[in-house]
Amino acid sequence: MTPLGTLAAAPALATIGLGHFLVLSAVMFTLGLITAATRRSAVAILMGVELILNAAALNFVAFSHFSQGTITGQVFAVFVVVLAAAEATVALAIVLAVFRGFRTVDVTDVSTLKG
Amino acid sequence: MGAIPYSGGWLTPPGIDAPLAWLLLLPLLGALATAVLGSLFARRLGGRVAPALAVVAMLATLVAALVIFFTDVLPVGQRERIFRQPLFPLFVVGGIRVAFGLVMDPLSAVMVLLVTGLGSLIHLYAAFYMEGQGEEQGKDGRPRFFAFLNLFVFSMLLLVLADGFVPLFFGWEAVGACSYFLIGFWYRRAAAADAATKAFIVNRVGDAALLLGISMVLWGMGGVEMVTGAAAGQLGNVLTRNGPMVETGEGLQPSPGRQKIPVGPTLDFHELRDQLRLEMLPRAGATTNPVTGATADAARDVHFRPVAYLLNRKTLGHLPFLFVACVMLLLGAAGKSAQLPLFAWLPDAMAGPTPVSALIHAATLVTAGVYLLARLSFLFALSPGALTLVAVIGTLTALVGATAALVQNDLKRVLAYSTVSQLGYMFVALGAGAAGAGVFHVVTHGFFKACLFLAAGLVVHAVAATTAGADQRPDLAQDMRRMGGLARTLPAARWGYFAACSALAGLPFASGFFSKDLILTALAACDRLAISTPLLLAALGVTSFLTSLYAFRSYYLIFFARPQRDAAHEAHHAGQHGGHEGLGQRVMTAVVLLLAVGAVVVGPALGWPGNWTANQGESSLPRLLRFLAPMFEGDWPRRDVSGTPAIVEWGMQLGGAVVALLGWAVARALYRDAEATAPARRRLAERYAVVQRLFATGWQADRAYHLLAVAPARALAGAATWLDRAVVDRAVNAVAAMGMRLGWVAGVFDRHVVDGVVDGVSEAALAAGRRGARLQNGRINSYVLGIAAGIAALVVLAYFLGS
Repeated sequence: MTPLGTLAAAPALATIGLGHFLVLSAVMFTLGLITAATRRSAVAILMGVELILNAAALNFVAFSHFSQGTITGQVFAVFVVVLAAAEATVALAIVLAVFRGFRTVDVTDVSTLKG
Repeated sequence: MGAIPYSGGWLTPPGIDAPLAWLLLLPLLGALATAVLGSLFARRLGGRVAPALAVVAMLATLVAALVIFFTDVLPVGQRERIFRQPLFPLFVVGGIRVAFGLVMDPLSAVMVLLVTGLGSLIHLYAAFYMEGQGEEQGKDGRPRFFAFLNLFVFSMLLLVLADGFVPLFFGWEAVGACSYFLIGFWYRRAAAADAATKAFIVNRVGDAALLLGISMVLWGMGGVEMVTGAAAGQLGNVLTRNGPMVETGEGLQPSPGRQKIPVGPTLDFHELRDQLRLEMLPRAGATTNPVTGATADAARDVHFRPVAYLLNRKTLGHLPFLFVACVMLLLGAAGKSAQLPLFAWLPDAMAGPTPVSALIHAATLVTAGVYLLARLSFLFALSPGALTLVAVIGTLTALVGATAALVQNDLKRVLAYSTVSQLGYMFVALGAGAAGAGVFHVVTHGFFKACLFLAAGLVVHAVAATTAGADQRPDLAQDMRRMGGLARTLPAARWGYFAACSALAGLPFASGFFSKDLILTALAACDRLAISTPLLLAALGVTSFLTSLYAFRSYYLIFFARPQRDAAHEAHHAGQHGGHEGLGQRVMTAVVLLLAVGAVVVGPALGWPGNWTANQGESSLPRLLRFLAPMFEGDWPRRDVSGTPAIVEWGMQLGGAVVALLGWAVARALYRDAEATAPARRRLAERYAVVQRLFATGWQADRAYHLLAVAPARALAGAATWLDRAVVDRAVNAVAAMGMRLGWVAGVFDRHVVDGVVDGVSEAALAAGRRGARLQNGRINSYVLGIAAGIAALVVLAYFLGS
């Protein structure tokens, strides 16, 4: 049974089920992806990446909640948060370094390594 | 040590002492020692080491030869003087076993004594003659000279001691090689180098013929065994016969006792001779020929010889096989002995030092051909055609040589043509079946020709010492026109020369008289030649006159005729202050005088004519001929045992004496006072200029060679060159051009196809790279989009492919 099937089989206006979480997560992921793909500011791209990470973490938590006996998903969500924090730290440091070098954070202008 | 009578056995094991081998080893060791020690110690002990060593080796050889002769040959019974010494086997081919062996029989004994005796004297003379002569570019050539001189004697001894064709051929070739080295001793002089080459090449022609002849003898004897063995009903290929012929009161009779004679191809002289002379006696009462089956006259059949008969019956094409084989052997002998048509090398060989000329002409080399024919006289006796050819060639050569000698101005060339002429006499003897007389003439000629050459050496030395530029032009000092009046300054040379000249001319009681008389008598008595013997006799009579004339012409021109320049005075001067110290001059003079005595004495001592003695029968033969008799007697079936009528011999002696004296008288009248007769001689020379030119060039022998051999060879070479240029080169060029075309095509293909493919591949890679590089645009956004699109594509793919 697919998650969408489960979603479709849920009674209307019943309690919030797994399907809602997944839809929300998908929307967040899509928004994050669009942000990362379209924004030219490095900081904005980082924000998009944060959205993607959080969408993934939401999925973990949701699946963990709706499955029995394990907390593996929640542990992974914690991992994702830690990872995101670390990533943000490193990425912001890089952005800062880029800014120092190029006086801009526009990724289209930082193309020195282009082949 | 003792004489081993020939038993027909194969290779008796050599004893501890091999005396005959010493005869070869001594000069060979001498040559080695001379070459090595002579060069090594030349600086410390002086240049005389080499001549001394060579002379010592030569004298040792002479002593050895004398000891062997007097202990092993002479005391033995006359018909057992065959002393064989097999040394080692060489090879076996089919049924033919070839060994290296030596044999001392009367014939080789005479030759050995001649070679070693004259060789020793000539060595002794040369040791002093070559003082200061051997220098080439500051390097003393004497070790080389004397080593080759010793080697020359060694080769000649090997040649005469050989018991078969194979060792003989070794000696034959070695003699040729040594003559090449010695004629070309002054190899920096173009004339000497050319003369050596000429001698070598002309000899090669003869040697090739000799090799063919030897092969033909071997070939011809093949097949003899089966027919004879079967038909004669004998065991295998061995025939038995009664013992050797022995002298009884009533002439030769077979001795009792059977003797085995191997029959079949062989390279051994005595084996060959024994089977060719093998006589089969008819069984009691039978008069049937055991091979042909024909009933024959009983008296003739006694001397029927099956092997000789079979060999004689073979033909080659339309020619008798034996005749062709003998002609080949004769050509070989003619090459070595300077007979027509291969004689022109000998006069040129005068370019060598004078002692070499003496050695070549007197003792070695040129006598080799005479020796070979004497050795094979049993074979030639079977072919009257070949004998005729030998006699005719000999006569013509004698005549040509004498006429050529008559008009030479170069002293040594006179002597050279004289040798050619005298060798012709020897060939006549062989052709007349009188090999003994031929060998006798070899001996007497050896003495007087050695004496002539060595006396000429004294003369040339004396003249050269006073002639400006003689170092560069050795022919100047040999020009008789520049000499004259030397009798006073060189008395010893003069008397030596005179004695030798009288021997050469055949003045009565000089040695040449006896040997020539024997030859002419034998020719007159010979009835087997296919040509009129009076014709040959007449030609030889003329030759005898010419011989006397040219011999005394040279004598008077050298010693008497008034000098055209002041030669006498100068030579007198040179005699006192010449290049030689007293000792050398004395030794050389002594050698010349010794040879002069020999030139006079040898003839009467060895050849006192039979008609001058009261003896009868065989004992009336001259001593040398009696000694040699076992070698030649019975070479053909005895049909007539009657000797030469005494009247013939008396006639020949008288005629020879008269002709010789006549020649002397004419020469004395013409040349004793050359200046007085000069106008007359000039008129004569002008009138017969053509003849003189013909004679002087040796009957245009060189031109004949040029026309017959050199020009065709050149033409052939030219044709070959043309063929090479026109055909071979063109073909090669065509192939090359084709290769170039092909290369061009291959080049085009390479450039356009192969290179195109290679370039295309690289172009494609570059284009792909350029396209691909566009993806790497450096914009992170598009990368992210790419990643997302990729993941999406993977998901879609998994959705359709999965489950």
